[in-house]
Amino acid sequence: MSTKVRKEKPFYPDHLFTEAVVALVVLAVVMLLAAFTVVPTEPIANPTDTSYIPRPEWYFLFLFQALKYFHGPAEVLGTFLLPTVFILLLILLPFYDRNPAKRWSKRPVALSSASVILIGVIVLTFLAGPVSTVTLFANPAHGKQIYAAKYCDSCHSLTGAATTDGPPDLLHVGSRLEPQYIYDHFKNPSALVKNSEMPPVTGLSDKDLKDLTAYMMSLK
Amino acid sequence: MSVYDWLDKRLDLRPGLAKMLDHPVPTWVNWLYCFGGITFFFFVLQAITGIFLMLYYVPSPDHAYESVQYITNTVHFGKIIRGMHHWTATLIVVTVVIHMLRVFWHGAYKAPRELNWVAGVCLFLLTMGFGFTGYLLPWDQKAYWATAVGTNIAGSVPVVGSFLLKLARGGTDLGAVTLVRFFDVHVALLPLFMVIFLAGHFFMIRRQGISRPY
Repeated sequence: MSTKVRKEKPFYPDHLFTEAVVALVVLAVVMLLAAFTVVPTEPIANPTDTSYIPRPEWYFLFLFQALKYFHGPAEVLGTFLLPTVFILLLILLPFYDRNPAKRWSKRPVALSSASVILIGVIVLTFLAGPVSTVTLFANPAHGKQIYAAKYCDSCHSLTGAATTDGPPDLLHVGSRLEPQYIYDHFKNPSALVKNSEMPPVTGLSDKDLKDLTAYMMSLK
Repeated sequence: MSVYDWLDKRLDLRPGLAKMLDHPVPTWVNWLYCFGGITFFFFVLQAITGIFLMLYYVPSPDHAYESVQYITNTVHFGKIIRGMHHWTATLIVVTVVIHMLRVFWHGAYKAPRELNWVAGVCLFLLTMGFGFTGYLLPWDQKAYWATAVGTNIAGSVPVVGSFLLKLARGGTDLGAVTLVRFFDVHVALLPLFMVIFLAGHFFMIRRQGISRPY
């Protein structure tokens, strides 16, 4: 009797209580994220703007990056064959892995091949560029006000005009540059662009600079 | 007499409830085992916030973008509801993957639980399907062009590619029909399959019990 008490606990109420506590904690996390972050929003879809460079959601980035290695007739390897093999390997895992051992130390083949695949997915995700956190909590609408207040438009145009030297046009700056670069550039332009005539953006809080960066990133 | 007693007298609930609630949980089940449960909780959260979003969202190219902006900026608690749906969509992928890695690490997919692993992989693919179809709905630049690339990938499949492309887009171009299709798949087709596979997943775990990690 006493051994049974130690080995098991009832689903209700013990286990359900633990689950409820965990659920409340994750609910709080999600609500705090929703309350204190801005869901990134881009301009309305424009089917005629073919200069836009799309990036998928972070969990598809590894696939997005893998596709870059296959060109021309080989493209089908990346778009179809590789994902299909990946999914089949996943689904059929219990049917080809016939090793009955469960402890990790007795499954060297399964653990090492899974590690290789996992590391591959992680490396591909990071090669596709990290998802920038600079603008995570920023407000692009406020950045637009700063853009006007700081008279950025006295040098930079937003028309899409071609600029060879001098202040570049910023209509599509968000698809050309990464947020981290834009943010660093505001602080000290000549450190990143040789002989830049742009003065450092001063008199702004860090939050304001990030809002301005978010506004730049919204220009696609 | 409580409400429960009144119902139990008529419907004989006790045996069913007892079966559901009285089963023992082994004490070696630790916090690593909570990610499947969190994923299910996230799915419920997505269903609830999704139902609220549908009160205002309009799946047409003329109104989709505006209706999302309206939800975010004007509707009471709209920012919170949309934010929760957005963040849960990201977090659910994280918890699904951690859950799968845990099951792999403990070898819980092995006989006799092969079928539950297959159901789990299907649930993972359904989750990715939710992510992909939900992406187009705000009808912003990222939504439109990422879906253009995504559906092109379907088009590159040998033999059936052009059929798949037309099926996904509702024609050769990406437009109003595509948006309604993605909306339909996101709020009707995928939830239906999700519920079926979740029911199977839970039925199997209850029948077979939690796998010992050694």
